[in-house]
Amino acid sequence: MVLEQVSMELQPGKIVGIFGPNGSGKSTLANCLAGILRPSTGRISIDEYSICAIPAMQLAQRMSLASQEIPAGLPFSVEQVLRLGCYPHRGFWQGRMPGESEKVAQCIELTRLQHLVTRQFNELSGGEKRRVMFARAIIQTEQFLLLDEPAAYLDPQHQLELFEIIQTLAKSGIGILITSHDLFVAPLFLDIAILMHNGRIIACGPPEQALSSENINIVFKHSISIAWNHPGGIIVDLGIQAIR
Amino acid sequence: MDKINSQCSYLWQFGLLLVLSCAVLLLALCCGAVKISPAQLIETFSGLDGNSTASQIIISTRLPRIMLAGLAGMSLSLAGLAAQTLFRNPLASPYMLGVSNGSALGAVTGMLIGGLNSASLTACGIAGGIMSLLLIKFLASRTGNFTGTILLLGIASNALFSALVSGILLFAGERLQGIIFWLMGGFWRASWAASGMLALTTMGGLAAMLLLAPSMNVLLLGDKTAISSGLNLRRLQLWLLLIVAILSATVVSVAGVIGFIGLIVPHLARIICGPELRKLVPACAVGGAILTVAADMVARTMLSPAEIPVGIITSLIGAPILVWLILAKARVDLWQ
Repeated sequence: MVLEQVSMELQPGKIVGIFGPNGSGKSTLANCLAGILRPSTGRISIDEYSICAIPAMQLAQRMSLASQEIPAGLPFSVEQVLRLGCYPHRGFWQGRMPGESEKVAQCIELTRLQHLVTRQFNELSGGEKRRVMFARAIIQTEQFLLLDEPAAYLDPQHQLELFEIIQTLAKSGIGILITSHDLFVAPLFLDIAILMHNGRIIACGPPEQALSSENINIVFKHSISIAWNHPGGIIVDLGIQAIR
Repeated sequence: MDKINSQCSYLWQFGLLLVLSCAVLLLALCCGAVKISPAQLIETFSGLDGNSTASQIIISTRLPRIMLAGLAGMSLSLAGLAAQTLFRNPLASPYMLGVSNGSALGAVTGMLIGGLNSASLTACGIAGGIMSLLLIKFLASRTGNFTGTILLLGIASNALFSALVSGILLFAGERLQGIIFWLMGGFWRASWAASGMLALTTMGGLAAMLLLAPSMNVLLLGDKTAISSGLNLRRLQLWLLLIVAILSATVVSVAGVIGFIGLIVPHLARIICGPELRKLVPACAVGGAILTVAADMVARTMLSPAEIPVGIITSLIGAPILVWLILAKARVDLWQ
């Protein structure tokens, strides 16, 4: 996917959501921010330093990615996977980083994974694996968290739980970027929404403006409208008519 | 407290492996075409009886052979562990890269040209292994999927080099029997010089893997997660590739092709010490040494004074263990 004329900002303590259909460039953008892909032109910077100039370990300490990739055949227990989140913080000769056990325990409590800690990662369901990888990414970062389709594989209860955790993390000062094509739950929790199509940003701003029916119809090519001011939360009307 | 418990448990497990390795070492020193009693062993090592036949056998024949077998076992099992981590595949073995057959091709060519001279054979074997590594590295660098391409190129080069070795055998003449016996794997050419050379590469490989173990754990998380964790993915992959190639090429060049050690020892070590690579690397090295020394002991005592190529014994032991591992673990995962 080629990104063109993409310009955006992720502030500490804010939640930014990137929306768009499959193949619109959401994951490519997240991969560029995480340092996995290097942009051929343009600049991605943290505190005015280009991420290309920041050593990989230092970048990993400040920014972590929970990608869509679920490792196959990972032989570790859930606790061992979570501890791998401390990898960039450990010194070369250090077995564990200072305060590692406390940090892991706090994250387990925050993400409500207590019942999974002793289980083998390979024995978990797809949704549980996603939650563990999400928790691992939280342990890794001190500043920014990139979540590529974090709600995929999760049931509605765990989706809501996930976004509550994301809000808690944002309140603690972590800047969070979410990529999603879900218009049902994610928009409720955002500070800023970005709508992408064919590698370009179509709209950027408060969710109500960026995800207006007009913008969504351009991108998804379907009559989808969101009622933002409904007392029970937002309502997404997909405009589908049953044909009998 | 958990950390202390886990460390104690690991030290116990590793300590048991060390005790077992000492027991196998002593047994291997005593067993052979000439039986040696524990008293003769003590006399030899305490320097009380340095000129007896038993002492000569121990110092000049049995000890270098056991050293060579132990080091070869360590090398193969470490190379197997590195290959399984590199390809994130529990069925990967050090011979998948094609380096072993490249090394065998080099060694067989060396045998045809220079006979069974130890030094030239080893040099040709290592040269063959390194050339095949350079070839697949050069070809794989031109594609995006580095490890996937390496794997496929390894299979292709294995087939090619194996065909070339078979072709060369047609022209081996009176040397045919010696070459075939060498290809089956064995330690009858053991010497202190060969052990010394293998010790260098084995200890180098062990040290490198101990240093790389934390990064190897992260590599298992997948490419994207590993890179975003600060890992220099390509550099680690190249290191692991180099370790697998050098360790397997040196073993093939001094002892022929010995199968199954690199495949099954990492699995057995995982059962004992768990999957965490900082603990697994030393356990794998000791486990490989134990199994290979034991297999060599069986090879030279089973039909004594005749000798069976050790590659036959490791395959006879390894195949049932692999089948058992697959049947016992298939319901969960072969990694665990």
